[in-house]
Amino acid sequence: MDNEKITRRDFLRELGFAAGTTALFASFPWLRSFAEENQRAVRNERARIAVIGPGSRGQYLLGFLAANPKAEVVWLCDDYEPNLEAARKRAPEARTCSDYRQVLDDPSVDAVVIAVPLHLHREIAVAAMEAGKHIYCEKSMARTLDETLDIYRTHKRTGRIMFVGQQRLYDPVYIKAVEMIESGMFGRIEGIKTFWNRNNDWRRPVPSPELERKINWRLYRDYSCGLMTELGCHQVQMGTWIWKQLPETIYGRGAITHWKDGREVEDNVGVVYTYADGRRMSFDSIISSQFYGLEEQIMGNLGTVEPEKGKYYFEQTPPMPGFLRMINDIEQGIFDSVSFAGPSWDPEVARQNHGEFILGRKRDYLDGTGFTVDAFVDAVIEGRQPPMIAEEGYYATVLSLLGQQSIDEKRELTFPEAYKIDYL
Amino acid sequence: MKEGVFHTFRPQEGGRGMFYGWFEAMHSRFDLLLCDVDEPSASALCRRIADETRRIGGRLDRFDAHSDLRRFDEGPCGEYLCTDAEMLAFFTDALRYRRLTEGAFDVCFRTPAYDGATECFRIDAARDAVVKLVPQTVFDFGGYAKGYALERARAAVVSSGVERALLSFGNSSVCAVGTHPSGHPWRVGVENPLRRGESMTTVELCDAALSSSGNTSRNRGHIRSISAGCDVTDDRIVSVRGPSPLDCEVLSTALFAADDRQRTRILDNFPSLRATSMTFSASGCSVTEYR
Repeated sequence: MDNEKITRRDFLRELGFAAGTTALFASFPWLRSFAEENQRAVRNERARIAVIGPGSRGQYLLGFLAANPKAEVVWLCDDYEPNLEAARKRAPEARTCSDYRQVLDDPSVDAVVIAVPLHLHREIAVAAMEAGKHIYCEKSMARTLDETLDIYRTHKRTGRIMFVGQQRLYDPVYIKAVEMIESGMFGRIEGIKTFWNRNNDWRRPVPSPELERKINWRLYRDYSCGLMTELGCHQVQMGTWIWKQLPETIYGRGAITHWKDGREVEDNVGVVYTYADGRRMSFDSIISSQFYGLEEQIMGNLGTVEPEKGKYYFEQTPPMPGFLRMINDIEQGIFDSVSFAGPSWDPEVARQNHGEFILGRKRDYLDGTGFTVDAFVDAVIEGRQPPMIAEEGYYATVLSLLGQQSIDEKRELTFPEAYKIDYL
Repeated sequence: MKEGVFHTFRPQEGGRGMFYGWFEAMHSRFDLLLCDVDEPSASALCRRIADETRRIGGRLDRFDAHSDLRRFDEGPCGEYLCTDAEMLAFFTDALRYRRLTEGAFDVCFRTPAYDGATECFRIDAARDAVVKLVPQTVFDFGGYAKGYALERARAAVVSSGVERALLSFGNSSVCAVGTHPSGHPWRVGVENPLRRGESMTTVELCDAALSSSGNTSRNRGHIRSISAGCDVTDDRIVSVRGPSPLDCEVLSTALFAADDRQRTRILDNFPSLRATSMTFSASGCSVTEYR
């Protein structure tokens, strides 16, 4: 919570949409719950929420719930007592249990947050929705493609709200960046290069050897697909968000090149997603070299965006924001003045290519997780599924799992028809 | 970078749409919005305008050692400096504007021995020549060249059959062809340099131009007051609206540099122009209509 320097109240203002919130909601309809009228409607309501799996990520989500006056954390569920102990400090009023079915049997529970190891997502998510609960499922959605599709179909069939923890969809930097991209500021987006590099073994301390797989589940294939599902899933979502297409082919390679400590998942992976016209999105992750860190380089013929740095850069002479705004207004049938006239444009300033901050200043919050959790609470109270959230989450998981499949099978895959849904 | 011409096209109906092109020229940028055009024709038109603007810039660039203007800077006093019809027209225009602005606009103001009263050159039309009358006379067409280029660009747009367009040269010179697609005049705001995105005044343009001269925090004092004999340094912008981009360009510089007494007489010489003065600060602005 200490990272949340912007409050939700400032969320829309932070985005600084020149044409106002109408344009914002047209492009990003899932943000509509932040509109003032929606906020008024849910102001005095409360959602009763259970957190299943309050480990490190679960506790992070719990922190946002505990700080939200519209959320009441009613259950904490974990079969690992130290997790429950830590979680109780954040939600001392909540009841605790070790079996999620006890939570689902409680008719007063509106929704559950699922932050258990990946291999358990499907079982709990499906059971929760069948029991009439709305779900916030941490990403990735599931361990396999079939499980992912099963969760999505259950969501559609039951009509229960489903959020997947793809927090970039609620991150002001990303939203503003996509708005700029869609305005044409960076021209045609020719490629998306994503990477997430670290230099550590990705292990958590284990108090006793028999708990190794329970605690370090990310490292073992029965539980997780490692870098693809735990990191790549966040980044490969950019392809569907920006290009609004699915790749035709997926080609990946990976290996354990450094951390040969008994783990089963790769510590060095690279996947290339190729779209119909040959444009590519790549994901690379090496966890034994961290210099280049984490980024998504969204590369247009006029400029490049690096949302993690919170910056954008122009190739050459940038287009004028005032003119771009005007043509966007004209397209939307809006007649407005444009303010750009004045003393001469200064080429010396314009040519410096240190980049510009997407939000006009350095990012001073961690990511969009808090806003995602808040939006989930609002959606539960309203009983309304925000558009695109479930679908973006679904395809992010499918793309990361297809990347893993290509790595495993050492061959190029064609995007399987069986996993296409009615979206895009 | 300087050779690039960039554009984006937004298709609408029947292969036609909105074309937005931009490029750098004359140490500044040119932006061009053409409505209801097809992309190949608009792109070719934008390229022609870029070439022509750069050609004009190449002639009048006082920073370029190889520009045509430099030959006049370096030419000896009293001799016939022969030239072509276009260059001669530039100098003829310069004298005319000097007279109509009572010297508030003078391309020779950088001459070391400049006194504001003496004409630094004359035209010998019979010989197609410029004759420098003051030793070491130097020329600066900075307050003229953009207006001239914009005038040429507008002519190219109109002659190509485009009926709605908005052209901006360096933000300081704007020219509208026809109306906004909504049917209303184009509405252009003059921005407070210290409060980005905030308009100090909004001007409606239909087959008209708007030119602004003034100071920003980075270029304070780049315009000289001939009457006061010093650079103008206050945080102020003068915008001039009228049918001719060139008249507006020249007049915005002249009116920014002129004193109150001169200003009235200058405007009397240009009855079709309207001028606005804006004094600005980080906390706001005050706006005065000159006419």
